[in-house]
Amino acid sequence: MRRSLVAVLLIVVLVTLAFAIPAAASSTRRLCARSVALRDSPEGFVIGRLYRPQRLRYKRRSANRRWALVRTRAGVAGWIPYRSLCRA
Amino acid sequence: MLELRRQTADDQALIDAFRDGDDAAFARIHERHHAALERYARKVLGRGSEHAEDVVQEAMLRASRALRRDDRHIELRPWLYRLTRNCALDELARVRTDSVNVDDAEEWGALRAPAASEPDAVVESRGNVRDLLGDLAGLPAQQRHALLRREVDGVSHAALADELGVSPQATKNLVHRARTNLVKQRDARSSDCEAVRGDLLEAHDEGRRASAATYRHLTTCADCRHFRAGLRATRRAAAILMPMPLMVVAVGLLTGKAAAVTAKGAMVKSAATAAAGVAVTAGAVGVGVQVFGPGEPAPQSATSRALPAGELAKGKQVPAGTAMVRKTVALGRSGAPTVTLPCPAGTRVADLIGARGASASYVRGTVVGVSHSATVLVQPRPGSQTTSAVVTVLCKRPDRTGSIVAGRPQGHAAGGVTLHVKVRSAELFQRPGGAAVGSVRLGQPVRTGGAARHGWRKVTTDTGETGWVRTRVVG
Repeated sequence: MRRSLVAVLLIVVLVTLAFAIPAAASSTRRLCARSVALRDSPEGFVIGRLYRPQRLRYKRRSANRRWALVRTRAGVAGWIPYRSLCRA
Repeated sequence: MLELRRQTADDQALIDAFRDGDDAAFARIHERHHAALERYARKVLGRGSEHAEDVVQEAMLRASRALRRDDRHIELRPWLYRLTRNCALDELARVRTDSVNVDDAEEWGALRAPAASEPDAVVESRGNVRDLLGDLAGLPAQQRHALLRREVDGVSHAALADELGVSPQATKNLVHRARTNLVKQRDARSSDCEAVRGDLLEAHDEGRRASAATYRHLTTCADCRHFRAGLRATRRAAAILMPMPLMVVAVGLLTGKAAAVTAKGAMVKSAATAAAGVAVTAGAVGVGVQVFGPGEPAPQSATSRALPAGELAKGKQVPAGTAMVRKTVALGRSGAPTVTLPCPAGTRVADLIGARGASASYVRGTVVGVSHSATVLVQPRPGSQTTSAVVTVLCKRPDRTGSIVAGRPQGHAAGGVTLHVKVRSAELFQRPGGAAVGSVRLGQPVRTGGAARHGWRKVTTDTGETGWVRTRVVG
């Protein structure tokens, strides 16, 4: 009885981790701004011009919470204003 | 259904009586239909009832004249709706072009959308209404009627088919085509002038017609029409430069100086070819890569950390040590094209200034501040009909530290040293292991004041961002 209870708990924990870890690492977000410049750094150079609708891999938010580090479908990573992303 | 048939039969009897000279019969027609027609007109007009009444009066006047003009069979009710719709559209067009300034029409309910509380949103909303009216007026009559009856009046396809005398499937096609045309028209209006001109230049060069999207844009853009007229004038002028061999030979035969005149013709042709060659060399022709070096007028405005003033207005001289390189790219259906733009000798890739008409980004191998040429992946905007895009890259000569940031102090901070990023890309952290504040890229010069913690180093980038990177990132 105790052994089966442990097994069930273990499965629940594993399933939870399997879903939780990728979600925390990155997620797919849509671009809501009409157009936005993709920069190599928040204060850096423009390395791309993106237009909506476009799906982006959202990686993280800057310390001042104004910028988002994203990766385009073409594999280019850069920073865009966080508010240009659609709300999750 | 039975009621409708009975009403139709009554209408036919009233038409016959009116055509026989009984004016009271028309008064009866008016009494029977005017309320529904006013409701319909009000929906089309979207504003005050006094205009709806005027529209219905005008429609009734036209109906009375038309009914006595001949004896053809008329389905009265749908026919009156069509008349009312035409009169309402005439009224909208009159309002749009003559009497009411949309920008001043505060009483327009449609312009007071709840979401449009911000001034710029209100202006945009008014512009959208103005453009939509223009697009509706430009639709073929049947498409316009079908769309308005479906969208505004909510009429079923079966009833609409009855009105128009076509099958329900045909009305669906009409509404579908009308919607498609409105979308295409809106896209054409919003497409970038640079991209349209690029397409015109390519079509001109290849001796073919420009795309349908370009022609749609031309109907709404006077500047681009002027540009096309300029292209045609240039072609005519160029034709004058060309020697006409048959005429030259004829003149030569007549004067007995065929050899001399032919030689002269050859010289004229050579001069024209040479002039064209110079134009191409100078980058004056829109096909291929164009380079705008220091002192030349900038082809478009730009904002960049690589520019001394941080920005450059269109037409102003490109500053020393910088260049703008651009190319028009055809957007085929076969996938996203890449285009390579080489920077002039001694300069490095800086900002991607513009990719008008498409999404674009440097491919992974292109590194800002390091690469001598930029390879750009260009992707058509989803749903866009644009067939070409103009890609522009800013190039900058690096300073002695390798930075392409303009106006940066050349000296180092006291006790600090300049290092360079050794990895392709790394993140800059607020504190070791903390939140990210930015990124650094391969070859980027960073200044370090010596602050370090186990495996971490505090740096300031040439763009002024300060943060921590792992020690192995710089060297």
